[in-house]
Amino acid sequence: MDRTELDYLFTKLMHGDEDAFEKIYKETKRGVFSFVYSICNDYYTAEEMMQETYIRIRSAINTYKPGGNALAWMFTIAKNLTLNEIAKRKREIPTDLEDPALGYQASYTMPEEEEEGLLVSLVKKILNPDEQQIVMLHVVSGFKHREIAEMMHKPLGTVLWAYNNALSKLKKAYEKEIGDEK
Amino acid sequence: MRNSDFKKRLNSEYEKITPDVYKKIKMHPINRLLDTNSPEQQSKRRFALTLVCIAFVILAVLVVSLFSYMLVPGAKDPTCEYVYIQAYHQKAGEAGSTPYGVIIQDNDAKYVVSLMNEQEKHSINVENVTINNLAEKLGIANGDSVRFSVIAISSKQADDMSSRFAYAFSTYAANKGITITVAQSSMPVTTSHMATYINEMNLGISVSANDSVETLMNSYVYIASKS
Repeated sequence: MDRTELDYLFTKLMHGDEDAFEKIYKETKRGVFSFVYSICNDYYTAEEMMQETYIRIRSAINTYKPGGNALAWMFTIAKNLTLNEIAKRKREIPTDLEDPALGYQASYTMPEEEEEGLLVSLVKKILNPDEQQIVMLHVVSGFKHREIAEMMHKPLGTVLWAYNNALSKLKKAYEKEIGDEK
Repeated sequence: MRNSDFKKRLNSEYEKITPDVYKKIKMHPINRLLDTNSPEQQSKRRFALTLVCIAFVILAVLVVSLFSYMLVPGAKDPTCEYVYIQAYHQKAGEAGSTPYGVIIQDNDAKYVVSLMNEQEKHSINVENVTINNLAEKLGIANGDSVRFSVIAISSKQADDMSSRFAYAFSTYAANKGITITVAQSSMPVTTSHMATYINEMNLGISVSANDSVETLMNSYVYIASKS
């Protein structure tokens, strides 16, 4: 979605336009989910954080400055909420150490009814969290590398290198998997 | 595989697994997202709620203050159990006067707790002596004059005792049919006088003029009991 259009929708949301909120949601849900999923590596946590992100966007919409980068504002909220949740879960002491649902788990889980594609599975297996975030922000959400560098507080060169490296690793692994299947 | 195809495929896979939280939230009306108020309305509501809370807090503080005011006994002037009176008794026809130090218990009975001849530094038995028969105890006679000064914890207590003292002596004179002069001294007694006197008695007590009036009174009563 065009950034100006998104900014316009955010401004409409500030004035209580519910349709604008639904449009924002539809246009950004994939990007937000893939981004928080790349941070927390857990499907259920990502779902929860995605929900919290939209709730926070609505409740904090008055703090948005019209004319700004709405997408970056939104993703910053998503990132902060997810990181806070991970930190919170690390502080919690699970009552049953055998139960993986308690406490934050590094390995990701998927609900049975969801079908994870090969590429998503490779992203989780092969890429480290930074690489995952860079790929998601660029490929799924359409952020420019320069914007990603600003958001992640990393030099542009590092982001570019990490992106190309991640893409190359993914392609190789994907082609290998396809080849093996054949 | 081209980069563009690769990206499309990645997008497509994420599209498939992205949960529809909006739909899920709609199925759970308790969720905050279903709040139909606009952010502006929410802001106004929060502001109104804040005002109501502030009003309640102010009201609660007022009620608590009012109750406290009603429960706590009214503020009174500070009082001390004892009042010190220095009385100078000048007998008729004599030039000098004898100073007496009197400690009076400041209650309804106004008992004399201790009485000392400060010139000769000895105490006088004050059994059953009150302010009303103190003049008799001192042997006030026709033509005598009595000047006195009072030390109390507050000026109000001092004024009350002065009036009471003057009244008791005047009444005594009237009852006896004698004429005496009773007047408040133009040179008020000070706590430093009490402190000096107590220290001079050298009975193991050392006080200073800066000590509290209560300390001085108690010390005075103590030295009177020992001398």
